[in-house]
Amino acid sequence: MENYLLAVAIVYLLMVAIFAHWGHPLLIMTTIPMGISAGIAGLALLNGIGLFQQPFDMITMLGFLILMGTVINNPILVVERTLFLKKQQHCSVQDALSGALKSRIRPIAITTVTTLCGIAPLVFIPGEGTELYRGVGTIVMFGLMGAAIVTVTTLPALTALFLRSKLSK
Amino acid sequence: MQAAIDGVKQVWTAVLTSTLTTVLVFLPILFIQQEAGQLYSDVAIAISSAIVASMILSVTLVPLLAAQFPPPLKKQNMDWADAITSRAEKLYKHRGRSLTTVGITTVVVVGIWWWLMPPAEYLPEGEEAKTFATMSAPPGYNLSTMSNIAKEIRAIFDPALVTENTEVKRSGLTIPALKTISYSVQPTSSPKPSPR
Repeated sequence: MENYLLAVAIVYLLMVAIFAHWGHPLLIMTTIPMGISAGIAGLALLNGIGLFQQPFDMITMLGFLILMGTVINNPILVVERTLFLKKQQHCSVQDALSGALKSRIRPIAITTVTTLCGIAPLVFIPGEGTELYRGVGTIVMFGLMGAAIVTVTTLPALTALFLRSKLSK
Repeated sequence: MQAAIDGVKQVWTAVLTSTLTTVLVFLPILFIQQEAGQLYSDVAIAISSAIVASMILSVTLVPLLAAQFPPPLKKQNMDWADAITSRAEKLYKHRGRSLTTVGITTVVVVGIWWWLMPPAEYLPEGEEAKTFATMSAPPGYNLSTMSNIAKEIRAIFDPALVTENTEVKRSGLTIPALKTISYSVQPTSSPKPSPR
């Protein structure tokens, strides 16, 4: 458990250093719980339809650690572009977000789909010994799917709320 | 050429941040001392080094190649991307819409954590701990004597099968809780009639 907190702290401080802002990294990191819950839902779904019985063990939980690192990549793309458009080009919050989404949605979709295809064999190919890493694969796969959805829906909404509020000044 | 340079400049911060965060989350794994850490640290090291290598290549070799072999200019027809963007725009147009979106997501996330969080286990079930014991009877013991000895042994071990505690004390022994146990009493070898 301390390891997860440590990972979150490292990621947060790193982003604070790169973005030079205490609030924007928090905005990006809100996708972590959303990605994790998508991963849990995916595990429950695959166990529920009886494809396999995957226990929720240590290695599966390490999938959450991978998710922490990968899930925030998409939001970084969107938020970074939004901030750039808002600061450098003096766009309104609305226009900056739309511009960022428009230019970033392609790379996000492509990377998500390629990663999903890469992980699919780990999850769906049966055989001896595959149960060791199947849980991680499932968590990461569904976590990334959830994160991609959240990146175009909830994240812009949250960013708009944050940037329009006084907190960002 | 300029396009390649601009491309790198535009995404450099994002690329660097995503790479570093992905690599650094694996740092705590190095502190896990148990079996799970050992099983996993190779995976972590492999992923980290691959990602670092890919970051370096993606800002050096890939822009170079893109400038050398420029892709044909194509008409930007991003129907699906525009469609998604315009749908998404509706979600943050007003303060109320944004609040609704964030609220619904929070409810869904908390709901999933609350209802679907499975019980945790340590590692997948593999080889279980087993113990074998045999007793060679002294010459002259018959089967019914052996059965009586087996009954004595059962009396000692059976409580460990049904217990809720992790261990039981019996006849001065500490026995861990048992999942299954099996006994058998059989004549091992009958003396061959010696040829005469």
